Amino acid sequence: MITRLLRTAALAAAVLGFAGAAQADYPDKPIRYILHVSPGGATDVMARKLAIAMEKTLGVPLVVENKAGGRGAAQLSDLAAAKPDGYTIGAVTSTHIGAFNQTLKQYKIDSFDWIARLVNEPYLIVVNKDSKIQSMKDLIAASNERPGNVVMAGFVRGSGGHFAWEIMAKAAGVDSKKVRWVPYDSVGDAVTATLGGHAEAAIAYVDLVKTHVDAGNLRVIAVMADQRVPQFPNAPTLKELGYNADTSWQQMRGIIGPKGMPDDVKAKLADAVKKALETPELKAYITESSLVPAYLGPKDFTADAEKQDKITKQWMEALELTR
Amino acid sequence: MWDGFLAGLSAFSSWQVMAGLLGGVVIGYVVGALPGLSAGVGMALLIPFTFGLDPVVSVVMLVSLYMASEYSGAIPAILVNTPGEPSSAITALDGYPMRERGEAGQALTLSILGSAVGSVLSTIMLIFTVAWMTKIALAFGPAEYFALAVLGLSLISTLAGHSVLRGIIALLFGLLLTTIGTDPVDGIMRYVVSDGLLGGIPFVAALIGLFGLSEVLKMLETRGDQTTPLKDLPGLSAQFGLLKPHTGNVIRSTFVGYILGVIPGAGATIASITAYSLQKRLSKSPQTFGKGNPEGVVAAETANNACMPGALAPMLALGIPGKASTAVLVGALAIQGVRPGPLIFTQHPEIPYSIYIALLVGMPFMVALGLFGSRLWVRLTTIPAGVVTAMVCATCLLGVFSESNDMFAVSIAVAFGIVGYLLSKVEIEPAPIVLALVLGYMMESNFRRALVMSGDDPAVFYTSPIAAFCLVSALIVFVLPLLQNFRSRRSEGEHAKMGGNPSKV
Amino acid sequence: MSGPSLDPSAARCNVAADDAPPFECRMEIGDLVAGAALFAFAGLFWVLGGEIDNGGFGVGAADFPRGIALLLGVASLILFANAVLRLARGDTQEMLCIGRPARVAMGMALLIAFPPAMSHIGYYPAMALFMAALLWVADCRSPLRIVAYVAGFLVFSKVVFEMILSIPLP
Repeated sequence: MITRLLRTAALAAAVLGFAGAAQADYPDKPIRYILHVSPGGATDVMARKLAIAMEKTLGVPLVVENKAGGRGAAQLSDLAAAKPDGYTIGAVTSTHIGAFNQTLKQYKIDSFDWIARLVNEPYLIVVNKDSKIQSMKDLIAASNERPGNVVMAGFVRGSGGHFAWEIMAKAAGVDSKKVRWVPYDSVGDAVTATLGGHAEAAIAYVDLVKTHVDAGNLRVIAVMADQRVPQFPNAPTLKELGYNADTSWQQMRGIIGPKGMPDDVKAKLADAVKKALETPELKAYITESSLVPAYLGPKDFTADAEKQDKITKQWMEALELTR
Repeated sequence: MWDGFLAGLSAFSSWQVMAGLLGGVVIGYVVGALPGLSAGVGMALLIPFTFGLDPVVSVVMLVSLYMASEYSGAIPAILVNTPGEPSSAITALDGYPMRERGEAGQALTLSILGSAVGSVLSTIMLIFTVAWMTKIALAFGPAEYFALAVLGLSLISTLAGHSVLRGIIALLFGLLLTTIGTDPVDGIMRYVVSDGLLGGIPFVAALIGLFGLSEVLKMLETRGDQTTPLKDLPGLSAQFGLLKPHTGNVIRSTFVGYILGVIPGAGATIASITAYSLQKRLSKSPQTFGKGNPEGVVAAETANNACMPGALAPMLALGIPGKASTAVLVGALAIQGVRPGPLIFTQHPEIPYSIYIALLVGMPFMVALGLFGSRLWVRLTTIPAGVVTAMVCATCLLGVFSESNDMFAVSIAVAFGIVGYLLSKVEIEPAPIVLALVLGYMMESNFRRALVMSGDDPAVFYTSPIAAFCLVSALIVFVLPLLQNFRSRRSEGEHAKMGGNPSKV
Repeated sequence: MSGPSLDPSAARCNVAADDAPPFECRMEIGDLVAGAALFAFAGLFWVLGGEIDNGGFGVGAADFPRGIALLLGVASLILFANAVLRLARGDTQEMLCIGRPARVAMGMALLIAFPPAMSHIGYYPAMALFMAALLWVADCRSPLRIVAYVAGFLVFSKVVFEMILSIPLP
């Protein structure tokens, strides 16, 4: 009887003191870091590098788990069901925000806690070296000439890359309805299709096309960023070409957690992310992978996610993708 | 070229590289032999260990793991009709009946030797043709992939030993199951009744259910306290001689495996089924295929191992990961700061060449392990059948769970086990179902992608020479047995009263 | 391919004399059941497919599954109809056999019980019970050997999976 009473008291104390006690020791056991991609891709490699760097600050292992499938659906259902105690976190990219508005409508921006943004990646347009399209001007002319003249490869409709193309097209005066957007399983597959001449052009990132551009098989005709990217000093930005596109629309990567995490747990994680991004290993990796460091803490990241969500919603409406 | 080769060779004088090679072969052998754990999973598990290693050591370890597990998937396929790797499902078609006849040792020997020769010949082709192979890899657009998938599916008619109708039913059943999950083009949810199905039916779970668990139920039908009588294996030198009658088969299957390996996404399963069907057409005794013809084992195993060096061609020369295991390899290299692609041969020549050498030097180790293993494994058939049944069942359940860390996958495997068992009772066999599960996604996504690309103009499927060739071949493969079936039905009808399935031998 | 081989002329199941009687029925009955079940399965996919948003562009998300469902429906009807025809003619040659049906049913029940058991009581106890029961069903009746095999397998999963491959088992 007494033991039971004691246990109840201890339980009550634990519940009441949960916030204080749990956070003081946080973290004292391994943290699960759930990814929405299968092993081997760029997001996976970056996450594993980040996990190693964060382990040094946090003092506990970060266990990377790959839960690929359904454009993040498998990962998110796992994440949403986890306790918001900081021991389960997940990777997030712009693609997730697109999915919230399209196929995974059960989730919204505030279904999760936004912990930290890591990096950004500007979008760009590549064409095959043998393509008749060799500049943005050619692309505009060919696109507007007749419907179906140009095939543009990319990730699914409603993805960040798709909207990047729509934003570019609008700024450049291309009738995007006349261009066939062909969705591939990944941006890498879209690049392969362009390499093989099956599509005229693709929307991609620096890292995915770098080796092919360096080898002379692909050509970058425009970059959607404020400045030229150091890897391709000869590739003009859209602004230089005279087109005013919103360059804040970039592919981002970050970390989220289940809704309702205590503020100081979030702060601790965000701090570990910030420190990790400054380690020489990760800095070198970010440069090598042609990413742009773009750390944001919990508050700014949430605001940024909401802004991206708003832009996404506008484009979904405009393109009649809301179903 | 020779400079790179020498650079790669000199790397192998370091003990770390040799240790990586041996470690990779042994881990790959174990991982491949465990149903549920495939090459990709094993390599992903190793990735964290490779962080601290030299790039050459880590790539040698991963490649040798990949190579060994592609072979050892055949072991459970032959011994207990449970493919360790998806592509060994084709090996099981003849390997398991051979084991039932007591020829487990012979089947295992043929599979290791066929694998070894296929892998070595294919590696040599890779070394000399890697640059040209990129053209084949890039020639495949949506229309071509669709046509290839159709050709792969049409080959089921060569599997359907019983009746073409039942083969087609199995195929359609599998295809229908692949539509569960997130739609490949528009990202719409289809038939998702549980969150676990968001990414589609977990393939490994389905494979293990259809083969392993349904076989367990079949084994319960016979007395469990008996053992299979075993035929003696010849001595070691004679063991090597077993492959000799199959020389032509090995060379053809190697070629088929290598070319299909080069096409990103086609994979070892298509390679196996293609080589198997080809061999069946050319064989002097096609009617014994599926009943324990050693030619089937040789064709399937040679092709799926020859496929692996082929898959390295687009990965190395273009940075395109054609499947899960090469994707892990790309990731492991990226962690080390090496990016596969057209420039790898000039910037990091030691990487491709150490891969080639690992494949060539690792092979004798694998053969030794495989031959030694084949003598050890056949003892399994001397254990009472009931004990084997329980062990197989437990390993399958454990393997499915650990592949995905997901209880839901285990339930799926159980469901497929029971359904597969019941369907096999009416002679609707698991092999075409599995083939459809492998190819369904490729077929649908590329069909729709091709139509989006052409603006709904079906001409894309016949204006591309590759697509047209594949589709016409598929038509021939598909129609031929129907005609033969019809003819034999008529001739048989004259002799006896019509009944049953006359195509049944 | 596997299992007891059928001898069409005998048209009987092969059973050891001292074994429990097998479950037997004519192949056509099996075909009727399978045809009907597959037809229902295809019908389900066809009906549910109607609720999938097909989108506005050409061949949409619902068309492929519905097309396959239609074909499977037709194929399973043919299977069904063939069986009816052969039954009507009465010239059956083959038997569908399930040897030792009670044990197969027990095996199925064990398989079905395993996933929920593992979720509730964890891997090691669930696997121990499952294996012991399956060994018993599969004619391994000596308690000592059952314990030995089960212990052996659990050690194998601990060493190979948890320790070498570092896959956590709940």
